[in-house]
Amino acid sequence: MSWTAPVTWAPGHMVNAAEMNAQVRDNFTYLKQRVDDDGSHRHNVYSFGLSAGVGNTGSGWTTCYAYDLTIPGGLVRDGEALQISGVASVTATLGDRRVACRIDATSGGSTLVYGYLESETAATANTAPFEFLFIRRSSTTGAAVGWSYKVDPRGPMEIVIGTSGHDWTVDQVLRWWVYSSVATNNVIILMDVHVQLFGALSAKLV
Amino acid sequence: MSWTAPRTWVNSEAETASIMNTHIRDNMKVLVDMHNANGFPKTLLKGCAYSGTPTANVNANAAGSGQTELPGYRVTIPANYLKQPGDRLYFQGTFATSATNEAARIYLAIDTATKILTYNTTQVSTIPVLCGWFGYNTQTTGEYRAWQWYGAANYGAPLLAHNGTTALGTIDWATTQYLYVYLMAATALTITLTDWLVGGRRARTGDAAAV
Repeated sequence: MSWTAPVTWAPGHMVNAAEMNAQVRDNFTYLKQRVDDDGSHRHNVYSFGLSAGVGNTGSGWTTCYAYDLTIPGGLVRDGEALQISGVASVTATLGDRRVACRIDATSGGSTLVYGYLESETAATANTAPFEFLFIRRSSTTGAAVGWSYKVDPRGPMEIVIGTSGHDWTVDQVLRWWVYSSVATNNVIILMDVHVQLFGALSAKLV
Repeated sequence: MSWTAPRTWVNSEAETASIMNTHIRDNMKVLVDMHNANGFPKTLLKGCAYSGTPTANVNANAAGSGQTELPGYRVTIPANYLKQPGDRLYFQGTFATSATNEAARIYLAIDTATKILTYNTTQVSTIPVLCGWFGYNTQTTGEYRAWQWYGAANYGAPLLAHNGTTALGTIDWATTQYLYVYLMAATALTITLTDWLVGGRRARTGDAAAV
């Protein structure tokens, strides 16, 4: 369903059914897409609620394909952003655990908009809320920052700034990974993830 | 363009062009302006991304002890945008400090008179990240909360720099306000504001009495 620019009605014009359907019915339907019946907005691009989550398989990085999300080309404009928040759980196992995501997962390579999270070196089970922010700077560049709260609310956090090599104007895959330095399965599990568009009334480069 | 309360249509009336334009065309435009081309509601008042070139008075500080305001990052807050207890104006920003080893400061202000020091660092070549909000308490009072991290770009080990909190005493949320960002350092281009996202988190209902 696409938007039809509202017409300027002229005196003496006899409105027909086709006009009412296009101008009133279809445009209201378009506006209603992200609005609940009570008028509240649905901001998220997508929300993943936990069933079992996706845990690591052995050591190294495990790709969480079940969380793959296509970001439509042109969804994010210069100065706008995707805000990603989620929760990962770690077991009481000594070892480094991480969560990462990137927004150009279909192209791969080394030029990534990439976020890193969570180095759990104490043998304490906990859940770690995390947040990533992917900001579009131009059609092929962006900035990313991420942070987590773990047990200590001070972090850790990782900051990635710079070019990404991907293309915001075409469909992109947003993909997650979990990492473990130990071979035991499921010592880190990616749980709930929420992806919200930070669209702006006014967006620009400065 | 502003919203007009939808009229009650009457049987057998002849609709005029003026009525159709006001109640169909103009109200539709008001609603669609809040949505992007994919139908998603716009959550930010303003989003600014870094062009890649630090420029004094544009996205970086000028030389000297003066506080450099960055007009391009200034955000207009419409009258009554925050209008009940608990409504907040959120900001998230990324900055960059140069290799110059001297104090660099970030100030925020809702009015031009009261500048809140939100970040003060001598860290060189870091990426400070600033998050926080201005909150509505009453029409003429509010509060400010912010937290900042800093670290090296590309997988550094950032640290919490500061938790800020202060009351706002001169605000009037019922009139148009502006959110200003100021930078200050002795040497030009010591600190740059790169990306800046500002938006509201407003509730359908807000309540001061309960809390």
